[in-house]
Amino acid sequence: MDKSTLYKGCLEPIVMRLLKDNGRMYGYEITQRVKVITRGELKITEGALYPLLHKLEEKGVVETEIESIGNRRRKYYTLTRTGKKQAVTAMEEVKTFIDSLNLILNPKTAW
Amino acid sequence: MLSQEQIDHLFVFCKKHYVRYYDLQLELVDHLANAIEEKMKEDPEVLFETALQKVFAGFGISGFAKIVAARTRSLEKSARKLRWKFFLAYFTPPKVAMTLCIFLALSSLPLYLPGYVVCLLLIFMLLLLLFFEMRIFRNTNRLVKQQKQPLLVTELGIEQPFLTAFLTFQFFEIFVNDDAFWNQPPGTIRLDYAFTVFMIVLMLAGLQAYRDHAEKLMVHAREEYPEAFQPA
Repeated sequence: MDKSTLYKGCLEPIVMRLLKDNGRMYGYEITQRVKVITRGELKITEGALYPLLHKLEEKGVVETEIESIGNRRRKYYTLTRTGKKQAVTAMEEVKTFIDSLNLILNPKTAW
Repeated sequence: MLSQEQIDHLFVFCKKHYVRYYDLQLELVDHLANAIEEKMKEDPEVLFETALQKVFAGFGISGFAKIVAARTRSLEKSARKLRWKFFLAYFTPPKVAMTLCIFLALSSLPLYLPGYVVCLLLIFMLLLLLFFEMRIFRNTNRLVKQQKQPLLVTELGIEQPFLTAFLTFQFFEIFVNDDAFWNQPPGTIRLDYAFTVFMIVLMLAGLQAYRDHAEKLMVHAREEYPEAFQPA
Protein backbone atom coordinates (compact mmCIF):
# COMPACT_ATOMS: atom_id res chain seq x y z
CA MET A 1 0.00 0.00 0.00
CA ASP A 2 1.19 3.52 -0.81
CA LYS A 3 2.38 5.00 2.51
CA SER A 4 1.59 8.56 1.49
CA THR A 5 -2.10 7.63 1.24
CA LEU A 6 -2.00 6.59 4.90
CA TYR A 7 -0.36 9.85 5.99
CA LYS A 8 -2.47 12.14 3.83
CA GLY A 9 -5.15 12.95 6.42
CA CYS A 10 -2.52 13.62 9.09
CA LEU A 11 -0.52 16.15 7.12
CA GLU A 12 -2.32 19.17 8.58
CA PRO A 13 -1.80 18.21 12.26
CA ILE A 14 1.84 17.26 11.49
CA VAL A 15 2.59 20.68 9.98
CA MET A 16 0.75 22.46 12.80
CA ARG A 17 2.67 20.49 15.42
CA LEU A 18 6.00 21.30 13.79
CA LEU A 19 5.16 25.00 13.67
CA LYS A 20 4.03 24.90 17.30
CA ASP A 21 7.32 23.33 18.39
CA ASN A 22 9.66 25.33 16.19
CA GLY A 23 8.06 28.77 16.12
CA ARG A 24 8.53 29.73 12.51
CA MET A 25 9.55 27.55 9.58
CA TYR A 26 9.79 27.74 5.78
CA GLY A 27 8.48 25.18 3.29
CA TYR A 28 11.68 23.30 2.54
CA GLU A 29 12.59 23.19 6.24
CA ILE A 30 9.26 21.49 7.04
CA THR A 31 9.82 18.75 4.44
CA GLN A 32 13.34 18.10 5.75
CA ARG A 33 12.36 18.15 9.43
CA VAL A 34 9.65 15.55 8.81
CA LYS A 35 12.14 13.38 6.92
CA VAL A 36 14.66 13.56 9.78
CA ILE A 37 12.15 12.96 12.61
CA THR A 38 10.59 9.94 10.86
CA ARG A 39 14.01 8.67 9.69
CA GLY A 40 12.95 8.96 6.07
CA GLU A 41 9.75 6.97 6.63
CA LEU A 42 7.49 9.93 5.83
CA LYS A 43 8.19 12.27 2.93
CA ILE A 44 6.00 15.31 2.47
CA THR A 45 5.76 16.21 -1.20
CA GLU A 46 5.91 19.83 -2.34
CA GLY A 47 2.65 19.35 -4.22
CA ALA A 48 0.91 18.54 -0.94
CA LEU A 49 2.76 20.88 1.42
CA TYR A 50 2.40 24.25 -0.32
CA PRO A 51 -1.35 23.97 -1.06
CA LEU A 52 -1.82 23.04 2.62
CA LEU A 53 0.28 25.97 3.88
CA HIS A 54 -1.63 28.36 1.59
CA LYS A 55 -4.95 26.96 2.80
CA LEU A 56 -3.89 27.42 6.44
CA GLU A 57 -2.85 30.99 5.63
CA GLU A 58 -6.24 31.71 4.07
CA LYS A 59 -8.00 30.26 7.13
CA GLY A 60 -5.93 32.49 9.44
CA VAL A 61 -4.24 29.48 11.10
CA VAL A 62 -0.77 30.65 10.01
CA GLU A 63 0.71 34.03 9.15
CA THR A 64 3.71 34.73 6.98
CA GLU A 65 6.72 37.01 6.87
CA ILE A 66 9.29 37.35 4.12
CA GLU A 67 12.98 37.83 4.85
CA SER A 68 16.05 38.25 2.69
CA ILE A 69 18.48 35.34 3.03
CA GLY A 70 21.63 36.02 1.05
CA ASN A 71 20.65 36.55 -2.58
CA ARG A 72 17.09 35.28 -2.23
CA ARG A 73 13.91 35.90 -0.25
CA ARG A 74 12.38 33.36 2.10
CA LYS A 75 8.80 33.03 3.26
CA TYR A 76 8.38 31.93 6.88
CA TYR A 77 5.19 30.50 8.38
CA THR A 78 4.16 31.00 12.02
CA LEU A 79 1.03 29.83 13.84
CA THR A 80 -1.38 32.61 14.74
CA ARG A 81 -3.01 32.69 18.19
CA THR A 82 -6.02 30.83 16.74
CA GLY A 83 -3.62 28.45 15.01
CA LYS A 84 -1.91 27.57 18.31
CA LYS A 85 -5.27 26.64 19.84
CA GLN A 86 -6.20 24.63 16.75
CA ALA A 87 -2.86 22.81 16.85
CA VAL A 88 -3.66 21.50 20.35
CA THR A 89 -7.12 20.32 19.23
CA ALA A 90 -5.70 18.75 16.07
CA MET A 91 -3.11 16.77 18.07
CA GLU A 92 -5.80 15.50 20.45
CA GLU A 93 -7.90 14.41 17.48
CA VAL A 94 -4.95 12.55 15.95
CA LYS A 95 -4.26 10.78 19.26
CA THR A 96 -7.90 9.70 19.53
CA PHE A 97 -7.73 8.49 15.93
CA ILE A 98 -4.55 6.48 16.62
CA ASP A 99 -6.17 4.93 19.73
CA SER A 100 -9.22 3.93 17.69
CA LEU A 101 -6.98 2.50 15.00
CA ASN A 102 -5.11 0.51 17.65
CA LEU A 103 -8.39 -0.99 18.85
CA ILE A 104 -9.10 -2.21 15.33
CA LEU A 105 -5.60 -3.46 14.62
CA ASN A 106 -5.08 -5.06 18.05
CA PRO A 107 -8.58 -6.13 19.14
CA LYS A 108 -7.17 -8.05 22.15
CA THR A 109 -5.99 -4.85 23.84
CA ALA A 110 -9.56 -3.59 23.83
CA TRP A 111 -10.57 -6.19 26.44
CA MET B 1 25.07 29.04 -1.68
CA LEU B 2 23.83 29.45 -5.24
CA SER B 3 25.09 32.41 -7.26
CA GLN B 4 22.86 35.34 -8.28
CA GLU B 5 22.97 34.05 -11.85
CA GLN B 6 21.67 30.63 -10.74
CA ILE B 7 18.90 32.25 -8.67
CA ASP B 8 17.89 34.35 -11.71
CA HIS B 9 17.87 31.15 -13.76
CA LEU B 10 15.44 29.61 -11.24
CA PHE B 11 13.06 32.56 -11.67
CA VAL B 12 13.18 32.04 -15.45
CA PHE B 13 12.64 28.30 -14.89
CA CYS B 14 9.48 29.02 -12.85
CA LYS B 15 8.19 31.39 -15.56
CA LYS B 16 8.80 28.70 -18.20
CA HIS B 17 6.72 26.31 -16.09
CA TYR B 18 3.75 28.68 -16.05
CA VAL B 19 4.33 30.37 -12.70
CA ARG B 20 4.00 33.96 -13.89
CA TYR B 21 3.31 35.56 -10.50
CA TYR B 22 6.27 36.88 -8.55
CA ASP B 23 4.75 36.12 -5.10
CA LEU B 24 4.58 32.42 -5.99
CA GLN B 25 7.91 32.36 -7.83
CA LEU B 26 9.64 33.74 -4.73
CA GLU B 27 8.61 30.79 -2.55
CA LEU B 28 9.29 28.16 -5.22
CA VAL B 29 12.71 29.60 -6.07
CA ASP B 30 13.74 29.41 -2.41
CA HIS B 31 12.50 25.82 -2.22
CA LEU B 32 14.31 24.79 -5.42
CA ALA B 33 17.49 26.58 -4.32
CA ASN B 34 17.51 24.81 -0.92
CA ALA B 35 16.94 21.41 -2.50
CA ILE B 36 19.60 22.01 -5.18
CA GLU B 37 22.14 23.12 -2.56
CA GLU B 38 21.40 19.94 -0.59
CA LYS B 39 21.93 17.80 -3.71
CA MET B 40 25.20 19.59 -4.52
CA LYS B 41 26.38 19.10 -0.93
CA GLU B 42 25.65 15.36 -1.10
CA ASP B 43 27.43 15.06 -4.45
CA PRO B 44 29.82 17.96 -5.20
CA GLU B 45 30.28 16.64 -8.75
CA VAL B 46 26.66 17.10 -9.71
CA LEU B 47 25.91 19.96 -12.11
CA PHE B 48 23.43 22.70 -11.22
CA GLU B 49 21.15 21.89 -14.16
CA THR B 50 21.11 18.14 -13.35
CA ALA B 51 20.30 18.88 -9.70
CA LEU B 52 17.51 21.22 -10.80
CA GLN B 53 15.93 18.57 -13.02
CA LYS B 54 16.09 16.01 -10.19
CA VAL B 55 14.49 18.41 -7.71
CA PHE B 56 11.79 19.42 -10.19
CA ALA B 57 10.97 15.74 -10.80
CA GLY B 58 10.07 15.57 -7.08
CA PHE B 59 7.13 17.92 -7.77
CA GLY B 60 5.43 15.11 -9.71
CA ILE B 61 3.99 15.03 -13.23
CA SER B 62 1.86 18.12 -12.69
CA GLY B 63 4.97 20.16 -11.82
CA PHE B 64 4.01 23.50 -10.26
CA ALA B 65 0.46 23.44 -11.68
CA LYS B 66 -1.15 21.96 -8.56
CA ILE B 67 0.51 24.54 -6.32
CA VAL B 68 -0.52 27.46 -8.56
CA ALA B 69 -4.13 26.23 -8.75
CA ALA B 70 -4.38 25.74 -4.98
CA ARG B 71 -2.86 29.15 -4.28
CA THR B 72 -5.30 30.80 -6.70
CA ARG B 73 -8.26 29.14 -4.94
CA SER B 74 -7.03 30.20 -1.47
CA LEU B 75 -6.40 33.79 -2.54
CA GLU B 76 -9.79 34.05 -4.25
CA LYS B 77 -11.46 32.95 -1.03
CA SER B 78 -9.49 35.33 1.20
CA ALA B 79 -10.08 38.25 -1.22
CA ARG B 80 -13.84 37.61 -1.02
CA LYS B 81 -13.71 37.38 2.77
CA LEU B 82 -11.70 40.56 3.12
CA ARG B 83 -13.94 42.52 0.76
CA TRP B 84 -17.00 41.38 2.72
CA LYS B 85 -15.26 42.47 5.95
CA PHE B 86 -14.68 45.95 4.51
CA PHE B 87 -18.28 46.07 3.28
CA LEU B 88 -19.59 45.29 6.77
CA ALA B 89 -17.10 47.71 8.33
CA TYR B 90 -18.77 50.49 6.34
CA PHE B 91 -22.00 50.00 8.27
CA THR B 92 -21.16 51.74 11.54
CA PRO B 93 -24.29 53.07 13.36
CA PRO B 94 -23.93 56.70 12.09
CA LYS B 95 -23.39 55.50 8.52
CA VAL B 96 -26.36 53.10 8.74
CA ALA B 97 -28.53 56.00 9.95
CA MET B 98 -27.26 58.25 7.15
CA THR B 99 -27.75 55.54 4.51
CA LEU B 100 -31.28 54.91 5.77
CA CYS B 101 -32.11 58.63 5.64
CA ILE B 102 -30.78 58.92 2.06
CA PHE B 103 -32.73 55.81 1.06
CA LEU B 104 -35.99 57.06 2.63
CA ALA B 105 -35.60 60.53 1.14
CA LEU B 106 -34.90 59.21 -2.36
CA SER B 107 -37.52 56.48 -2.35
CA SER B 108 -40.24 58.88 -1.23
CA LEU B 109 -39.58 61.26 -4.14
CA PRO B 110 -42.49 59.86 -6.23
CA LEU B 111 -44.82 61.04 -3.46
CA TYR B 112 -44.06 64.66 -4.31
CA LEU B 113 -42.75 64.66 -7.87
CA PRO B 114 -44.20 63.48 -11.19
CA GLY B 115 -42.80 60.28 -12.73
CA TYR B 116 -40.66 61.92 -15.42
CA VAL B 117 -38.83 64.14 -12.87
CA VAL B 118 -38.11 61.07 -10.72
CA CYS B 119 -36.85 59.27 -13.83
CA LEU B 120 -34.49 62.12 -14.66
CA LEU B 121 -33.26 62.21 -11.06
CA LEU B 122 -32.64 58.47 -11.19
CA ILE B 123 -30.62 58.88 -14.40
CA PHE B 124 -28.59 61.54 -12.59
CA MET B 125 -28.00 59.16 -9.63
CA LEU B 126 -26.87 56.40 -11.99
CA LEU B 127 -24.48 58.75 -13.75
CA LEU B 128 -23.11 59.85 -10.38
CA LEU B 129 -22.59 56.21 -9.39
CA LEU B 130 -20.91 55.49 -12.72
CA PHE B 131 -18.59 58.47 -12.25
CA PHE B 132 -17.70 57.31 -8.71
CA GLU B 133 -17.10 53.78 -9.98
CA MET B 134 -14.88 54.91 -12.88
CA ARG B 135 -12.86 57.15 -10.56
CA ILE B 136 -12.21 54.26 -8.15
CA PHE B 137 -11.23 51.91 -10.99
CA ARG B 138 -8.91 54.52 -12.50
CA ASN B 139 -7.16 55.00 -9.14
CA THR B 140 -6.86 51.24 -8.63
CA ASN B 141 -5.44 50.75 -12.11
CA ARG B 142 -2.90 53.45 -11.41
CA LEU B 143 -1.82 51.52 -8.29
CA VAL B 144 -1.57 48.24 -10.22
CA LYS B 145 0.52 49.89 -12.96
CA GLN B 146 3.16 50.72 -10.34
CA GLN B 147 3.90 46.99 -10.18
CA LYS B 148 6.72 45.90 -12.43
CA GLN B 149 6.01 42.19 -11.94
CA PRO B 150 2.59 40.53 -11.64
CA LEU B 151 1.45 39.47 -8.17
CA LEU B 152 -1.31 36.92 -7.71
CA VAL B 153 -2.31 38.52 -4.42
CA THR B 154 -3.14 41.88 -6.04
CA GLU B 155 -4.50 40.49 -9.30
CA LEU B 156 -7.17 38.45 -7.53
CA GLY B 157 -7.92 41.11 -4.95
CA ILE B 158 -8.46 43.85 -7.51
CA GLU B 159 -10.84 42.22 -9.95
CA GLN B 160 -13.20 44.93 -11.11
CA PRO B 161 -16.90 44.25 -10.85
CA PHE B 162 -18.99 46.53 -13.07
CA LEU B 163 -21.84 47.11 -10.68
CA THR B 164 -23.42 50.01 -12.53
CA ALA B 165 -24.01 47.83 -15.58
CA PHE B 166 -26.41 45.72 -13.53
CA LEU B 167 -28.20 48.81 -12.20
CA THR B 168 -28.57 50.32 -15.64
CA PHE B 169 -30.17 47.09 -16.82
CA GLN B 170 -32.54 47.22 -13.83
CA PHE B 171 -33.33 50.85 -14.62
CA PHE B 172 -34.26 50.10 -18.22
CA GLU B 173 -36.37 47.12 -17.15
CA ILE B 174 -38.46 49.30 -14.86
CA PHE B 175 -38.69 52.62 -16.59
CA VAL B 176 -38.05 52.35 -20.28
CA ASN B 177 -40.15 49.24 -20.80
CA ASP B 178 -42.93 50.70 -18.69
CA ASP B 179 -43.97 54.22 -19.66
CA ALA B 180 -46.67 54.22 -16.95
CA PHE B 181 -43.99 55.33 -14.50
CA TRP B 182 -42.85 58.20 -16.76
CA ASN B 183 -46.41 59.58 -16.88
CA GLN B 184 -47.23 58.79 -13.27
CA PRO B 185 -48.59 61.73 -11.20
CA PRO B 186 -47.12 62.40 -7.73
CA GLY B 187 -48.50 60.33 -4.84
CA THR B 188 -47.52 56.72 -5.47
CA ILE B 189 -44.42 54.78 -4.36
CA ARG B 190 -43.54 51.80 -6.50
CA LEU B 191 -41.69 48.87 -4.97
CA ASP B 192 -39.41 48.37 -7.99
CA TYR B 193 -38.34 52.03 -7.82
CA ALA B 194 -37.61 51.76 -4.07
CA PHE B 195 -35.60 48.60 -4.75
CA THR B 196 -33.48 50.35 -7.41
CA VAL B 197 -32.76 53.23 -5.02
CA PHE B 198 -31.85 50.71 -2.31
CA MET B 199 -29.44 48.98 -4.71
CA ILE B 200 -27.79 52.28 -5.63
CA VAL B 201 -27.18 53.07 -1.96
CA LEU B 202 -25.87 49.54 -1.30
CA MET B 203 -23.58 49.69 -4.30
CA LEU B 204 -22.11 52.94 -3.07
CA ALA B 205 -21.15 51.08 0.12
CA GLY B 206 -19.85 48.16 -1.96
CA LEU B 207 -17.65 50.48 -4.02
CA GLN B 208 -16.20 52.05 -0.90
CA ALA B 209 -15.42 48.54 0.41
CA TYR B 210 -13.78 47.69 -2.91
CA ARG B 211 -11.65 50.85 -2.79
CA ASP B 212 -10.56 50.29 0.86
CA HIS B 213 -9.73 46.65 0.14
CA ALA B 214 -7.72 47.45 -3.00
CA GLU B 215 -5.73 50.17 -1.23
CA LYS B 216 -4.96 47.91 1.74
CA LEU B 217 -3.88 45.10 -0.58
CA MET B 218 -1.50 47.35 -2.47
CA VAL B 219 0.09 48.69 0.74
CA HIS B 220 0.54 45.10 1.96
CA ALA B 221 1.97 43.98 -1.41
CA ARG B 222 4.48 46.86 -1.41
CA GLU B 223 5.67 45.89 2.07
CA GLU B 224 5.88 42.15 1.33
CA TYR B 225 7.24 42.24 -2.22
CA PRO B 226 9.12 45.54 -2.70
CA GLU B 227 11.14 43.97 -5.57
CA ALA B 228 7.93 43.54 -7.59
CA PHE B 229 7.62 47.34 -7.69
CA GLN B 230 11.19 48.01 -8.78
CA PRO B 231 12.11 48.19 -12.47
CA ALA B 232 13.54 44.86 -13.71
